[in-house]
Amino acid sequence: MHDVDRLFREYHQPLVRYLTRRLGDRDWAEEVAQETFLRAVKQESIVSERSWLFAVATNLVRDEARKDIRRRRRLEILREQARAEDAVDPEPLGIERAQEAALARKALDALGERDREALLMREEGLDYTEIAGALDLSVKSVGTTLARARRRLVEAYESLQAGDAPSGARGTHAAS
Amino acid sequence: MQHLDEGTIHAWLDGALPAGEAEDVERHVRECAGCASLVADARGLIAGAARIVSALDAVPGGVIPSRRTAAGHSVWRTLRLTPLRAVLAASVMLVAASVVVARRAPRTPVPRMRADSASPVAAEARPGVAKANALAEVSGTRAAGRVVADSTREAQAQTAGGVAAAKTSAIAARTGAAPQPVREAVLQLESVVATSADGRALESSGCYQVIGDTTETHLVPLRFALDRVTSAGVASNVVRAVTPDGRRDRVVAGLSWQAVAGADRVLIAAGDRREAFAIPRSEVAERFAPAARPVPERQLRVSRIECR
Repeated sequence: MHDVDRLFREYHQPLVRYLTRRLGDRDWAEEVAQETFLRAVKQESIVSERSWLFAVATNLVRDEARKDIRRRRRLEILREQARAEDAVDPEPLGIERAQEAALARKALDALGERDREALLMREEGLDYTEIAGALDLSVKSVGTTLARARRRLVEAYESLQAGDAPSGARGTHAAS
Repeated sequence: MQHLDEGTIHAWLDGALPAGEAEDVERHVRECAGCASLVADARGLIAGAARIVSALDAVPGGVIPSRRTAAGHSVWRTLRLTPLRAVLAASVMLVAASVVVARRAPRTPVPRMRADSASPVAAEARPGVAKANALAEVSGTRAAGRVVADSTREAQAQTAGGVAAAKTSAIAARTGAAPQPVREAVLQLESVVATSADGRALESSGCYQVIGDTTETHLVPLRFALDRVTSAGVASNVVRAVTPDGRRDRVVAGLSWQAVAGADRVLIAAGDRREAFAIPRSEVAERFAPAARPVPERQLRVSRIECR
């Protein structure tokens, strides 16, 4: 049994951020984080807390994604329809940021699963040993994995951006 | 030493190599122009990837679900009518009307009409009454809708005043209005005031731990340092993550900080969150009055921690 309060205080925020970035859905991320902490409570002992939590969360995402992929697709469609009905016209500033977020999401989705997870974990501050532990990699290969992930992410983003912004007609808001 | 592979370069830049190996790499990079170029490339990729990942956290501004206004309300939907139900209802009404007409074609008109007013005809007319009541309810809903819409607008003004101002500015620009005063606005959704829990001053080079965070976006790492760095002669305030063992880690891409009134607090903002908008003077009061405090207070409470 662990000091649950401490574990939660220390890791909930980065774990939810990691999962939100991974899933693109804050509510889903919160659910997975909650399940992860529940499992941590039941665990007798955890050697590397952060690595363990990120590994369990990652596995839960994989399992759930496999199980619920069709249901979630359906919900996505419904949600998009509801948004289309309910959203007011976005302001220019919102459009730009939303476009950036959408491009980033597409670029991230273009990565292999392991590359994506390693990169997001690193961005959350996990060191190479923790990433290796969470993803069942050798520590030596983490650098290569991250190098590949970063290169592919940037290349995918740039190519999406090039295809998305013809004739430099982006960003017309009136900030002085 | 052999030329460096990309994985080793990234591991070195991430501070993941053992001390001896890191020194070897550093020495080699100094001597090898090719590898130095690869290192520069890798630095760009690390920064670029961090920026892209942080873009995933962006909450689109202005995409605020609108409460349906009266104009947008469908009576059909309010009455829960489908086309089939509508046809059935119309049929019932038609039959009822036929009955009325048949009964109102009297041989002795006046007494029959009086009797009919309290007869099944009146009962059959109830769907119409019900519909009228429902319409009255719709009117009530409309009034409520307006209240909700007003409060939604107010909330929008409070939470995205800067965005609204940007729109106003764009309109002013299109209409060729006279030059307008510039007003600086902080986009509330993406900035946060960090306040010291013990009242001690928050300062540059200090390390802190978040002990209370009421924001939705959780932009700031659990443990962070407020640092000041100089690059190419330009000084900037950056937020750096701090590892659980108290070591200063990477700079959090896109975050910056600045002191605000009161030594025990700083404003931490992401990207160009502080923006200036040219907006009509007359609009200032309307747009900003509800948000008399553009920066939300005490969103983030922090305590000082030791770090190196």
